[in-house]
Amino acid sequence: MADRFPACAQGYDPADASRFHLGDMPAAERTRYDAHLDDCPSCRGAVARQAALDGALGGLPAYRAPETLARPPRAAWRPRRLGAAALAAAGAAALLLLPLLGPAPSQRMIADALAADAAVIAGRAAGGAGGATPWLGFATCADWIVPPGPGVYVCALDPAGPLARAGLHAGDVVLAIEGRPVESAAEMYGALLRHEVGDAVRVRVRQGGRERVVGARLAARPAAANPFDLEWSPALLASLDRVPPGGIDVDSVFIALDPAAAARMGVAGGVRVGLVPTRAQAAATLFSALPYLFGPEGLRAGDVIIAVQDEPVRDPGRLWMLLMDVQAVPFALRVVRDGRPIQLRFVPGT
Amino acid sequence: MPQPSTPPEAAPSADAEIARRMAAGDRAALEEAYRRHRDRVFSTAYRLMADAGSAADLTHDAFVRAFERAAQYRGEAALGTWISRIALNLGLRQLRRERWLLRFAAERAWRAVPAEPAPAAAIDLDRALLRLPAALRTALVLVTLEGYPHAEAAAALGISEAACRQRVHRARAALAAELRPEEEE
Repeated sequence: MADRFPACAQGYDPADASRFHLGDMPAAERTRYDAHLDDCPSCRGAVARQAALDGALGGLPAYRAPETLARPPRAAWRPRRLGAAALAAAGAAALLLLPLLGPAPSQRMIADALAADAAVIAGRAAGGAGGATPWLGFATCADWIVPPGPGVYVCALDPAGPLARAGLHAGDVVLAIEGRPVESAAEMYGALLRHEVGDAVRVRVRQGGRERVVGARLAARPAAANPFDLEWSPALLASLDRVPPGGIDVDSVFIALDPAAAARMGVAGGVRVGLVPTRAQAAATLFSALPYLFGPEGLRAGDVIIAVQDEPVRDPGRLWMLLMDVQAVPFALRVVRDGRPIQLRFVPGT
Repeated sequence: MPQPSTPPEAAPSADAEIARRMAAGDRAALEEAYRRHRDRVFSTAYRLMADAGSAADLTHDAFVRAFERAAQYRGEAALGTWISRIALNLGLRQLRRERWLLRFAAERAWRAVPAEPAPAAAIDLDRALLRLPAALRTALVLVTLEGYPHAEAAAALGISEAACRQRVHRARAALAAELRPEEEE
């Protein structure tokens, strides 16, 4: 976390100020720290900020439950495979792309999300049986990152899913379901909710410049999927490496899985560092909390992170956990860059 | 350390009465509990998940559970706190289950809008809190905002008590660095 206050010359951490302030420090250490405070304006400031923080935390704003919660629940409890939130998030991305690629939601996306939410809640109120959500077997993603045009872009396809069985590929576009045009992921999910898992639906698609109608039998949407099991749109992956004119901005860095690139490089997995087109659309990620990863000697677009210390990385979740564990100590990332494995060393806070 | 912020809630006896009626299956009692406490439950869930959509889900589910399990309400905490804890438990379970997805939710999150205009400093601090890595944020929400004892929070998070303390201190250090100068003494 970027700290605009000077570091303690003795090497005390700002977290020590919190330990001192909350009395969570052994007596001997406390005595030493107390004496240290007399000589260290930096740590005195940190302790004062801890005291101020208590007051500030008491003044955090309250939130009002959104309109979708205007009525108390009616449906009987059942564990859901898919939360309305996940579907709401589908206003921008369905299955897994949003967590990787999603920008801060625009008004339009929020409107989409609300529409999807409302559809789910309507479905719930109607007592929709089963609880499984009908699915065509692909992940969508934020509209700013896909090629412009009507319909819903197939960003990542489940090779065993309904559309794959109908002969579609990632990069194709879904235009209409049962004759109803769909312009957003939310509209598509709304249309699908009129059907049950197992129903056959007619889907108008555009594939390589040609439109046709395919039949698909709806599957149940999984709660999550392994990105390495999906077929990803090559156009989408290619767009991730475009460097914006201003160079790399920490806020514009995100990471994406790229199984194809990893396979080309002969690694079993990895997490690729990519870029989004502009700062305004940027999906700041966990890396914005770790800016030193992107210093001059640090990560670049196109790098594939394959290990933290000596722990292999196969997905962003694992990477995240490993980075959380090493935040306080110097550590090394093993990275594939331009096809060659290299090692990058980091000292947090520098 | 601040006390967990508890918005005005019904007197304990009123809470017990509402819970008793809910346990008897009285939907009007559920509606009353919902009207009184949904904002509190939603706010708590939102700080835990840093995503308004997830928070809305949890709020819905927590009230369904509370209605079904109202007979288990013992009056040890205010009803709003009890339902918030149900939401927190459900939320932590979801975070564990969808760790992969949700650990990346920090910036894609669907943001909630504060109920009332708040001072810019409070908004900034709130944003900083919502931006914290989930591991730090969840510990801070449970311990500092909701007043869980460290042992209980550690158990809920599935980590050691020492790790829980460390996460709280790291979260506090990160937030303290975001305070505006005028808030310092």
